Amino acid sequence: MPRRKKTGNGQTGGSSPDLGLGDVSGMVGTLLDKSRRHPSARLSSIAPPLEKLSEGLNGDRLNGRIAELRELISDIRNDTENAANAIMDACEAIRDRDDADAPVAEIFTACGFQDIVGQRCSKALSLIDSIVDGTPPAEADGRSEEVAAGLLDGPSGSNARPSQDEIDKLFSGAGDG
Amino acid sequence: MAVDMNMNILIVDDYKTMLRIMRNLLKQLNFNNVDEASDGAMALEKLRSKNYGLVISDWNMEPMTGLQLLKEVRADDRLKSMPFIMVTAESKSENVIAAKQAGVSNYIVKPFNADTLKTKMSSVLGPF
Repeated sequence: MPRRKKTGNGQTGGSSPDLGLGDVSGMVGTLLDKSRRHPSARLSSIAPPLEKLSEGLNGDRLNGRIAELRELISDIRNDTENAANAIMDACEAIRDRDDADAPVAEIFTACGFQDIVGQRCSKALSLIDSIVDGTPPAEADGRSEEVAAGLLDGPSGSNARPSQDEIDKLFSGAGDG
Repeated sequence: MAVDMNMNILIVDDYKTMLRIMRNLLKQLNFNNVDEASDGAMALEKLRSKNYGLVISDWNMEPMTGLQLLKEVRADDRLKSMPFIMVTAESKSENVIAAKQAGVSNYIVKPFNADTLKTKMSSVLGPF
């Protein structure tokens, strides 16, 4: 008996006198189903999201967002390191002193790192969403004006963060002229 | 005039950790009547239903920001003279200027320490 030739998809080729009408009908149905899932059709269906992604991956805009993400992640690392050191400093002070009020206050304020880190993480997630979607994140109506004015940018980078003294000087002069 | 240590203080922040930190710091300063709100809208509702001697608010909250809250407070006849301290990570000069123009009493940048909080409260309320 001659060996049947294998087709590319692993099916055996040629007709068989052993196949009944029901079998042929089943095979046609399978072929029809496969044709619907043909690679070209599937590629067509994912073309729009790919185009969207490609737009998002375009040049300067992506580079800018990735640079911002890098800076955020670096700031997150610095914030947590600074907070951990502040907490350990306060703990050492408590260990060495009877009057614990001041070091305890320092521990509480050092825990404020969660707020700063949380804001940075939210901003990083928002940046990732904007890269994937190719659009800037939506803002609640009341916030959009402040976002547009650059008033809701979140914590400044570690290097650009002003001290309270600098803020005080700015505050005492602000709005006077 | 002596500061009323029993005054009600409203702290406003969308981070529970910060509310807890602030409540504990105020307790250490002997202010025990502290209420909390998680955004500007909730704060405004509380301010209109109870008497407060001080508001300490974050800026970057949703849906109503701290700046919007400040403007609402200053536009309200009953609340307009309320001492209002902004405690925020927003530290650009534009932020400080916008807050001052809106009538903020003082401005603390995060991360802050307990001494800064006490100093700014004293400058707004008087020494305690």
